[in-house]
Amino acid sequence: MNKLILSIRNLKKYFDNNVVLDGISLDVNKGDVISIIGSSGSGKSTFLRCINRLEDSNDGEIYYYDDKKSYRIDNSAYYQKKKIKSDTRKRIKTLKIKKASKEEIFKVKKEGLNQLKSLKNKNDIVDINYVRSKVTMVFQNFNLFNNMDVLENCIIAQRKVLHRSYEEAKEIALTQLKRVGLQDRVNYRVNEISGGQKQRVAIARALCMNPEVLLFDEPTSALDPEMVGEVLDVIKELSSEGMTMIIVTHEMKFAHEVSTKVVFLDQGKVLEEGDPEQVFNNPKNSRTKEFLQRYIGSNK
Amino acid sequence: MSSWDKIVKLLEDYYQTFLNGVISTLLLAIVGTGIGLLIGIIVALGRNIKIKETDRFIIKILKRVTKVLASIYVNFFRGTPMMVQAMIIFFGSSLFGINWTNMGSWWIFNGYMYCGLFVITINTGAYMSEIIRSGLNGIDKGQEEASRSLGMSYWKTMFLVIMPQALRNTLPTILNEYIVNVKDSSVLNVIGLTELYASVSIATNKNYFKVEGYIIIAIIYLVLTLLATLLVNIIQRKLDGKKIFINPFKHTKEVISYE
Repeated sequence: MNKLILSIRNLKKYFDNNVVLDGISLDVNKGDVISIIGSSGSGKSTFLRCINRLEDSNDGEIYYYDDKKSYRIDNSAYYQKKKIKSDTRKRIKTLKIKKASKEEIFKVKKEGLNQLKSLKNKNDIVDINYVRSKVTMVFQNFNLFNNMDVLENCIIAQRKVLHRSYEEAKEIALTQLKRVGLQDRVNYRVNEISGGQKQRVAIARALCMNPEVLLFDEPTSALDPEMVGEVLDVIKELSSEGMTMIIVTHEMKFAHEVSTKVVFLDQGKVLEEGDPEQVFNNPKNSRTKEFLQRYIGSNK
Repeated sequence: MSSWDKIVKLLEDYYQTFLNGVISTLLLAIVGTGIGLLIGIIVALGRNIKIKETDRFIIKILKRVTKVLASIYVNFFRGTPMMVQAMIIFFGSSLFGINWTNMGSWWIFNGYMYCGLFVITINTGAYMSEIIRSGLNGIDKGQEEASRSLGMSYWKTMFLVIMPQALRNTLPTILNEYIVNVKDSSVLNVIGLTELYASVSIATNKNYFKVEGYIIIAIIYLVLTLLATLLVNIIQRKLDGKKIFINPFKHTKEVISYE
């Protein structure tokens, strides 16, 4: 049962000089439900988007394990190159200011070149779109395709990415729509169903791809309290069926109930991780304590 | 002879000329808008290319060149009158060995018509690309993200998710461009193309019923554009309407059999 399906090593992400993710490592086993909590701007969503490759990470590796083989994604080569180049340039500049001899400058240049040569493109991904279809994502704003109806929303990616036949894709789509309790909304347009139903369709759409991991990016933040319930029920049911999920959420009570592991992120770093009982009841870090107190206080 | 008699006489004697003029004008407007739309889609995609930081150097340059070329095309053809473009292309083509007047003629098709079609198409393409581009930029970014996150490639995302929505949103503007083309094709008479406007001079060069001739074509232009406006309004109303896209029986059968 403890089969590793996703492994993230020292993931880093910068926007210009703004560090968003600062060396995050996480292992995901089959059947894990991992909740990621933390205040806004702590990099939770960016972390999920890096896993789904909507954002390129600047450093660190992500390993995806399939039934047959593993895929490694490592975008760091480009950024390392850039760093070596700028470093060498800076060193030459300082040497020139010091009026060093030409030989010294040449030495520095050669050093930089050697460093560049030793770098290799470590990214050994063959089909990034296939990997993406194995870690599908559910968004905060649903993002259902507006030009299609509910069933077509679930079918299109199966047909175009997994190359299933229309009949097969439809059967799978209907099964998944039934799983989220929407079998009677199959031929509705996207703008005719409520927010909660939209999010459930989005979950079904993601499930249709037979993903190894399901990523939830604040799935209930755009919903009113009544609709939150129906979406959370679906997620709970999925977890009881053994679906592997990573959930970014502000619903602390729900995270406590459903998850097998809780990760607290702050300013791009993992401050605390462990099983929910321990993190919610006996947080070790003072920052976690502060955060949880504010949340649980407001929830009561 | 009253004006009314003159109009009747013109229509009796030259109805064939006016009919050919109407067909020419409609041909110019429809072909110009249709092919212009295709050019517009391609150019809009070219202008919308995103240059990624991690792209290789050569690809970065290629993308930049595409963007600049597309931008030059759009700005040139939007920034100069179609009359001037027509003259430049008609007389300037001889530099490249193309002689429009030498081409064979059949019915309304001759060298002037081919040149006119070329000019109106390329001119409309520039306007269309801006219309399509605004449509593409108006689509929520989440649509693309959702599609990419499911594993669909850029082109699949573009043509299955983004472009249908952009075209639907800009359809009224696109049809408006057709109305503009119906009227603006009249300037193409400067290269000797006999469309509706030029057909008046043929019909009146012996009898001098100028005013009556122009009144006739004014009414014809009005009818053509009003019909198109009507079409735009109907389509717009249907797009705004809630249930227009639903076929309630589309999947019902399968669902029942599934249950």
